[in-house]
Amino acid sequence: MQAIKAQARAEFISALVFLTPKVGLFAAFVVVPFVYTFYLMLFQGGLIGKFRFVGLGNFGALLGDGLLRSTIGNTLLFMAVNIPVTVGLALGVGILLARQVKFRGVYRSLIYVPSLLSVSATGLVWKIMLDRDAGPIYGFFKHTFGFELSYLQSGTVALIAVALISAWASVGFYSLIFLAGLNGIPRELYEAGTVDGISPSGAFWHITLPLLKPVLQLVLILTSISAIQVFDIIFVLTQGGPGTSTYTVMWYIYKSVFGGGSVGYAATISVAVMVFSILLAGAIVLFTRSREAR
Amino acid sequence: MAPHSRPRVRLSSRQVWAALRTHTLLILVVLASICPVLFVVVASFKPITSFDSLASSTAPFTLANYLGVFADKVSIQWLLNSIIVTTAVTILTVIVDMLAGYAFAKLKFKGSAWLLSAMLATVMVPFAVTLLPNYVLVARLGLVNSYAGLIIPLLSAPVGVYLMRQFISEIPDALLEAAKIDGANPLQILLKIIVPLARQPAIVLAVFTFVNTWNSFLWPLLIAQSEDKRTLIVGIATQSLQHTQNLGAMTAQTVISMVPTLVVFAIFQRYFLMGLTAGSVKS
Repeated sequence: MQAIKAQARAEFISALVFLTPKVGLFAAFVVVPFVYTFYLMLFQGGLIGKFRFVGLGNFGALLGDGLLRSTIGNTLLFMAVNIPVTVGLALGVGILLARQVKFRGVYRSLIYVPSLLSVSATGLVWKIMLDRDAGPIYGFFKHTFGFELSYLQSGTVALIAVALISAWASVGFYSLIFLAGLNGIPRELYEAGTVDGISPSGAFWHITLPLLKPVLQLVLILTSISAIQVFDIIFVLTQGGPGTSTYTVMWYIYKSVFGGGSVGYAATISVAVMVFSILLAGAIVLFTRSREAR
Repeated sequence: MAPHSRPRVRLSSRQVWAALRTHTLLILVVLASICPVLFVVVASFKPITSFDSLASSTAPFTLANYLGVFADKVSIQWLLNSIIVTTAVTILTVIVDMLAGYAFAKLKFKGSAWLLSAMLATVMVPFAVTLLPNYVLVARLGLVNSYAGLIIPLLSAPVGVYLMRQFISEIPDALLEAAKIDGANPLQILLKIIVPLARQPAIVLAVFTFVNTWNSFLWPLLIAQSEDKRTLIVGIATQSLQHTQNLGAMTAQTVISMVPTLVVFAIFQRYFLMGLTAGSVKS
């Protein structure tokens, strides 16, 4: 009895010791900042200097902020382009990679390469690709279709270009997640389907997609959350420009806080981003579930 | 999975066409993925200073851009900073997450399940929410523009704990009980049994942490305020705004910055796949 008690105590103490580093770091850099955000929402003041209590004043400011409104519009457009393109291409590439063809290991590795690049590398690669003088893609569109757009310097086009470049950089990663999901689908199901005379597209809609639903849900949530807070690629490609036409919400937060703006106001926007992403994730879960029930 | 298990049959022409179509599409995707990168790699070996000179360059290949980068003190400092930060974050993450993963998987204490799910729930919180207050706090602690400020906050991510816990849970309890009966304490169990058996997930965690940290952007951008504290990735992205553009040097820096992640991927490929599989199955 005594020995068991002593062992339980030793176990408790070692659990405490082993957990302390992680829980301490987690508390310091996740929990405290999370709570602090809600506190900051009630104040006004820049990074330097004192905060002034403004109560719910930041919420009022939120509603009257015209630049914020166009920024939200830009972010939604970015999401509307980036998410379907990323998920659609990743699913397609995942399905191709799941086929039992030769060299699929080589294809798989090479397709992952853009996902290994830093945003700085992606930025430089695409600045060069789309450059007026030296860019092969610019040249291709110019000679084939007569387009002479400065892709990264013209308003909405720039935003769409950035959304597509961001998709280019992440398709490889998500296609391997889809591939892992596809590899988990028993092959017998397809063989049974073939016996029943199901067409390849029928197999996709009735076997692949339903069984891939949890993975699809995961990928949709991951792409949505990263698209809502898109920042890095904006920094390296357009810096929010031309003018404010590629301002996204995170870019706006960054610009305003590090341009001397109010931290409390930025915290208020970031909480709004969180509420929106929770709602969106919930909607994705509900949507995929209700289709399952049908 | 076993390629020779099936008897070799002659493929019908329909199957040949289907395979051909799959290859064609995959080759197109591969080209779209790597040609833009290769173009920059080729450019980095040309004597170029600007976009115009890149367009008209027919000059032979040269190492000048790379020699320039390696002769530049600032670039070397950035590379060094990247190496320091990435190495520290990778090693510390594996240690800290393995300790916590072991505690969650095998040690019994009150609130264990609750604490783990609370930590995991925050994966859904966008970093936008914690970024600003985190910056304000780190600034108050006086850690802005320091290695500590670059490294320590990156160790708080909860995903690795979950990964380690899942794998360590699969280690049979009987093994640990036997060691306990032999009088081993939890620390000895950790070092003698858990660590050797949890090598695979530890490598999975290490390779993902390495790539993510090497490529991390926003946090080092905020924290490294003087030029000499920047990581290579942040340095590349911020210099073009400040200095006269030197495209040749930039392409060389960029290619150098890609090498570590590509090499790690080439060596540890199967661990990347294991990690992605674990991620997709656990969704």
